[in-house]
Amino acid sequence: MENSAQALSFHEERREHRLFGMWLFLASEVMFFTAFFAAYIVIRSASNGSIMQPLDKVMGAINTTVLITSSLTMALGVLASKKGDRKALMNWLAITFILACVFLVIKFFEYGAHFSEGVYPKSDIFHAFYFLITGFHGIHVLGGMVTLAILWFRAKAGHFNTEFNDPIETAGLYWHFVDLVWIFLYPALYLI
Amino acid sequence: MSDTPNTIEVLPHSAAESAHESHEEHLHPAPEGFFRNYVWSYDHKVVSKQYLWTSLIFMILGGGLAMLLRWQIAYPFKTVPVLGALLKGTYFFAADGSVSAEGYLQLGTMHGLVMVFFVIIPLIVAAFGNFLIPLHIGARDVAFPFLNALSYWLYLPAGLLMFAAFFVDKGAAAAGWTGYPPLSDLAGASSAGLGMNLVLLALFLAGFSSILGGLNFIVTIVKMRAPGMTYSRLPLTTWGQLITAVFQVIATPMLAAGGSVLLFDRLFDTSFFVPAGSVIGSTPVPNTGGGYPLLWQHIFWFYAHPAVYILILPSMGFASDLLATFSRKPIFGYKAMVLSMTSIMGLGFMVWGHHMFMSGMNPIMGMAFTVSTIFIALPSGVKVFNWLGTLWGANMKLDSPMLYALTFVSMFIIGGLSGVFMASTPVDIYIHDTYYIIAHFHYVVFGATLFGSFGGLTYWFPKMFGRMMNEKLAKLHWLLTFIFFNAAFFPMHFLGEAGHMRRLATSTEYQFLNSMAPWNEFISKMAFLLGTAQLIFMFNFIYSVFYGKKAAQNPWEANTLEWTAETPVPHYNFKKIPTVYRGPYEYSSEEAGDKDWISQAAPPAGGVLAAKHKVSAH
Amino acid sequence: MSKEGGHEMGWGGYYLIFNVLILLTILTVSISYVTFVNHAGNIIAAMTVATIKATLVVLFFMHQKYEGKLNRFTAIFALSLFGLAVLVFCCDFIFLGTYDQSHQVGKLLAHAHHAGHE
Repeated sequence: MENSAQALSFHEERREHRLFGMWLFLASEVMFFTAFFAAYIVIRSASNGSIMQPLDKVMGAINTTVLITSSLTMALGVLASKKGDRKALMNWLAITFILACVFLVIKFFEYGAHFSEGVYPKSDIFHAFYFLITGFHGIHVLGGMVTLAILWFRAKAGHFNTEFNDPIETAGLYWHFVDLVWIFLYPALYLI
Repeated sequence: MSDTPNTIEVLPHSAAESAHESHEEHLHPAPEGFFRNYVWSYDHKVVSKQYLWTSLIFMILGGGLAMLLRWQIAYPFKTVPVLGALLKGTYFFAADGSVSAEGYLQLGTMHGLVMVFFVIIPLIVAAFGNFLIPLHIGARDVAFPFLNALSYWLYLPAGLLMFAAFFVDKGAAAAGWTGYPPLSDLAGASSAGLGMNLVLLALFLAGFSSILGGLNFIVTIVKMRAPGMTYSRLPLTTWGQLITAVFQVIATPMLAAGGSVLLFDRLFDTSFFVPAGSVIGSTPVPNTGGGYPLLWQHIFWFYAHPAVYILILPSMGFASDLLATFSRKPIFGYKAMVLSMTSIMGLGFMVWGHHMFMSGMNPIMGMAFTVSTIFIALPSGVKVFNWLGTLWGANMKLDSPMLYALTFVSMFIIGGLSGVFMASTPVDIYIHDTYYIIAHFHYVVFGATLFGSFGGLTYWFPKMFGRMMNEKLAKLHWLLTFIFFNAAFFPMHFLGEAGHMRRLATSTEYQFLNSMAPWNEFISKMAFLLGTAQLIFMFNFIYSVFYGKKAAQNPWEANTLEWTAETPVPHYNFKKIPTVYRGPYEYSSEEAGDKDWISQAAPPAGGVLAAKHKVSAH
Repeated sequence: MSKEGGHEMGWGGYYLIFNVLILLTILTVSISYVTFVNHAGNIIAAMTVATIKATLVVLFFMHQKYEGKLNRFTAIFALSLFGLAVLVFCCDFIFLGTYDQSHQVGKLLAHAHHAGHE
């Protein structure tokens, strides 16, 4: 979108492209999870709630806290990259990565607890949804972790500075989206 | 920069434009080496050709599947010539070399899936879109060249996976392209086992490719237009691609999600779509039940209805461009054309239930979807009238691209009208799942979209390959395809009205269908001739790439920006990013003077400064 | 809330939002231990809190408050489609009715289809 009066710099223009591209990608991700959530809402309403089974609220609450904290650290990482603070950026990326690991480890234990009780996706429709939605959410967390790792190495190599830090910002958007899904997922499956 | 072989002389126009250009050079230098030139390319033109060749090959394969289908319909239980004798007892052939019943369902399913996902969408969206969009808007490439290359390399393996499914035990998917459960999600129900899973995986990959491509095109069109290229000066081809890209980004994920849930049912024995108490034969299924088959239909059609707009909108854009160019007249009602496309975008998400009138869903929903579907016929009608208005009083040049474009309009009218019948629930109760439906969608996808694509290929061939296609052969191809296409598909309307069901491997089982057998044979013969006629186009296309008459830069004397680029188009597209001064359809206007056309980028007679105020009104 | 570079958020702002999100999490978990008279109340409460948390994340962590119309439109378009999908899917399922009702409708449809064939 060029204004002949004042041209954006090359970096600013590319940043606009990348941010817009990421928002579009996130829109597609919203639609992806929409199918799962819509199906869950529908089947649960149709059953008048009779499909519901209890889950470990405390583990879920801890995971919620972990993810919200990781969102904070990611935002702080983006801030650091904009200030050109390479060390701080690398630290925040690493902390976000570690928090993501913690999330997945907790989920691993949750899944393990279910399996040891003989509860599998096929056991009943509620657990089918549980494994389906948290499973795909987990895959997205994993993808985010891979991205964070790559960014950490790139930051180490000095790729980012005050002028160019788009990948951090777009990765940040993606990471917040992952947090967003969990913000709805947790009450929908665990709390109500 | 000036040391490299592809020296580009940057001629600055204004500070803004030189800043714009210098960062375009920044984008990526000219590629070197076979790998970067032809395999993993950051040049949208190369990626478009990758898609083009691949989708044309898949078209031949997908068409072949249809030929086998038509053989079985016309000559049930007769040995298929050549192939049947060679492959009897294997794949989809029965022991006597005829098409087996399970094989028939596989063929039908795969014909649909291959044509929709691996031929039409890659051809009209990825191939044409990739080639044309940057050229139409005056950019040097798409917004994300890396994602572009990745999109192709997701599509190709996906296509190969689809065909690999034929070769695994029990063959490829066989539950219809719509994949309705329980047939599609119970491991023992349909004939397919691993094959169905491979097909679902292939669709997942192709869908991901589609989403990335759509995203790329949206950012490109919105953010990378040349100075002066306002939205109201975009060629309708570009508008068509923009709306299509929105559908791709928003709708395709639903398919991915639905497919994932189906895979869960198949792999982990969950019961999202499996009703309670399901049995196969007399064996209860391992799934515990409690699911809703209807849920799949909602999820699937929420995607698949927007998909049909993906299948038509780019081709509508081509038709508009072609009709204007060969009528030497502006498109009638440009604004209305744009508004109708955007309203199709809005309404297109609200009509999916018209595929489900017979599903047992709530009849009140049936009424709601009838209303919304009738509404969506309106913008299509507007477009048809505007095309006719464009032709009205025109001094038409009946070159082959124009013949294809005219066919687009007329076949679209027929296909669209049959669609109006289906929109009404009471009528659809009768014609659902009959040949009437098959006639409808072949009229819109083959009659409209594919003819529009043939037109696009003959029209943009000079820009893509620097040569002209042979005009006589193109006209011959057009004539034969037109005749055989109508001869094959029009009678299907009557078969459908008479109650002939679709996806029927053995119509001889039903006495009331016996009277229609001669029609089936006739249709099949026409279909075989139709398939053979395509060889003419194939020959013309391949021959002309190497030996066609060399093309001028603007052989059609058209206004849009791609014709201002050299032929063949260099890596950087334009020596200097053009500035746009007018809309794309200024044919036979006063400004053109003696000629009946004036390029979008030609400075106005009064001088550039005089038009400056027009340029900056973005 | 300290501002950095004019219109961007500073670390102070992020910490503030973070704390609000944590508080809301504590709130929603606590509410879930209380059974409302009508279970629908729990659902409404939980979803309302979730929506507030989501809005905070989108507006501040994801910067939507400072983004242009284009990105805003994209986000809202996607969300409205979510609403549409849920609405229509629910309408269909909720009115599925008892076995007898849908059975009657089924018989009517089958009869119409059959009559057409003869």
